[in-house]
Formats: sequence, C-alpha cells, structure tokens
Amino acid sequence: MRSVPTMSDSVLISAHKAGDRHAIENLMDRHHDPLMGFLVNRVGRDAEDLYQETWVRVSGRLDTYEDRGSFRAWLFQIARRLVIDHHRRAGARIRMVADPDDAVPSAVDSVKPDQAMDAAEVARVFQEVVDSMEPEMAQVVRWRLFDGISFKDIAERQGVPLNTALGRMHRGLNKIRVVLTENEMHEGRKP
Amino acid sequence: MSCPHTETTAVLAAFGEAPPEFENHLSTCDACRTVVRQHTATLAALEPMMDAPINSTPRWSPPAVVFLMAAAVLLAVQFTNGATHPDPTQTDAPLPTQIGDPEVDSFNDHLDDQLASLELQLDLFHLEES
Repeated sequence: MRSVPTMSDSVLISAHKAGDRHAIENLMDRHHDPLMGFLVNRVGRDAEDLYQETWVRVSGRLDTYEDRGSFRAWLFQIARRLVIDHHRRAGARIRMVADPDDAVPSAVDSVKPDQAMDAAEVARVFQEVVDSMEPEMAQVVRWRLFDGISFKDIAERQGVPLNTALGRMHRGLNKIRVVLTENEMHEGRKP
Repeated sequence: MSCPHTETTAVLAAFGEAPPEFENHLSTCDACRTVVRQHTATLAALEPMMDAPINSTPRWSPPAVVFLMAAAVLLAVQFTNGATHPDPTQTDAPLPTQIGDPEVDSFNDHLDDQLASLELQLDLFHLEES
C-alpha cells in the first residue's frame, strides 16, 4: 500500500496546471492501487502497460481537464477505454478465457489480430444470434447496446427486477461470445 | 455458479457501471473476474458495428429530415409554379416560354442553389458523423 497524499485531487490538478511537476506523481500515488486493481481485474498481466498508458493519456489531457466532476471517474473512464482498445488491438476480439461454467478451461486468446472479424461479419453473426434469443433477452441486448438505455430503465420497461435484466444481458452476451467464437473457428479465417 | 454476482454486478462492471467497492470483490473472485473479462472482450468485439445499428428503430437525424422536408417543399413549389402557366391548348392564350425566360431561369437557378446547399450540408453532416 502506498502512502496517499493528503491534498485533494482538485488541489493537485491545480498545482499541476501551475507547473508543479510533482503534482501528477502525487495523483498517481493516490490512485495507484485502485487503478491497478481495476486493470489487473480486466487484462491480467498487461495491466502494467495499460497503467502507464492511462497516465500518459491523463498527463496529456490534464492541462485542459475541467474540474467539474470526479477526477477518479474521469481517470477510470480513460482506463476503461484503454481496456476495450486493448482487447481489440490484441486480437482478442473474442478472448477465450476460462468459462466459469466449464470444468475445463478453454483455449486462451486463440484469435490472431489478422483474423479479427470485420464489422460486417460481426454484424451478420450478431444479428443471427440475437434473432435466436428469447424475445426478452433480445430486447435487453438491443436496448442496451444500440439504444444505450440504462439497465435500470430496461428493468422498468420490462417490469422485472434489475437483477433479472442483468441476468438476461449476461446470458445474451454469453450466447454472442460463443457464436462469434465458433464462427471464427469454423470459417477458417485467412492468415 | 460459484458467485451470485456473476450474473448481476459483474455485468455492470463490464459496462463500467459497478460500484467502486466491487473492485475489491473482483480481486478475490475468479468467477466474477472471468465474467468481466469475457463480457468486456465481447463488447470490444461488437464495438465496430455499434455505429451501424441493425434492425433497430430507424433514427432520422434532424439535418436529414430538414433536407427531405426542404426538398419536398421545393418540388411542390416547382410543380405549383408549372401549374400556374396558362393551358397551352387555349389558342388565344400566349404560349408559355419556360426556356429562355430570364425570370424562370433565375428562379430555377435559385432553387438549384438551395438544393445544392442543402445537399452539401447533409454531406458535411454525414462526414462529421462518420
């Protein structure tokens, strides 16, 4: 556990803007553990690279950062964006990490970058999967992914508890993942 | 399922909407961590097509609607303008001279300019969107 600076994020950001070169180091110290934990939980051993990249992005934008909300939320928003980019860039379009339902872990990251499916193929497969889902599940998936409706509102619209809507999304994403993965395997993508 | 959060809070975490405290749980729960990674990767895979909704409710962007409405009005004006010309079968009425009529030419040029301008605006809008 690192020692955490006592100054607030806002004060440190102001200090950074005023030219204090140590301010960002203090910011990094303050947010190191939660940010690193966030990244490790999502990308495992690549967390360190993304941690560095996150702070590179932050330092590049800090001069224009407007202190209107939570710095932490802004920081994690950048990190989350990098996590998504990481999954795409690394060719882990569908990263086959061990399925908790499976007794035997499946292959890891079997899809190479140049095997990545293009948007049209993904869209076609996605459409097929969603069409095969139960109506309530398909509705949750479409509402959330294409209309950006919050899970809370989806639950209200469907007249179900929030956890039911989340469960439908969970199973819907699982179906999509499985079919996308199978599709890539069966079609024998060009090297 | 070994953890009840895998189908609930872990899904929220994949969308970046779980409460911060959930990170502590993630660091100790393999099942939830796996779900978050899988769903995050799936969402990353789907992202390229997110800009082109499929079988979703068609969305009419305001500039496109304005353009279509303006085009309809301009077409209606053109038709109305044509209808006001005298019936050429009436022998005592002067034949309309649409071609070469400076006023009509000027009006048509104006319409063309307006249409071209609207088309340009629409193209620019689509470019900005893409």
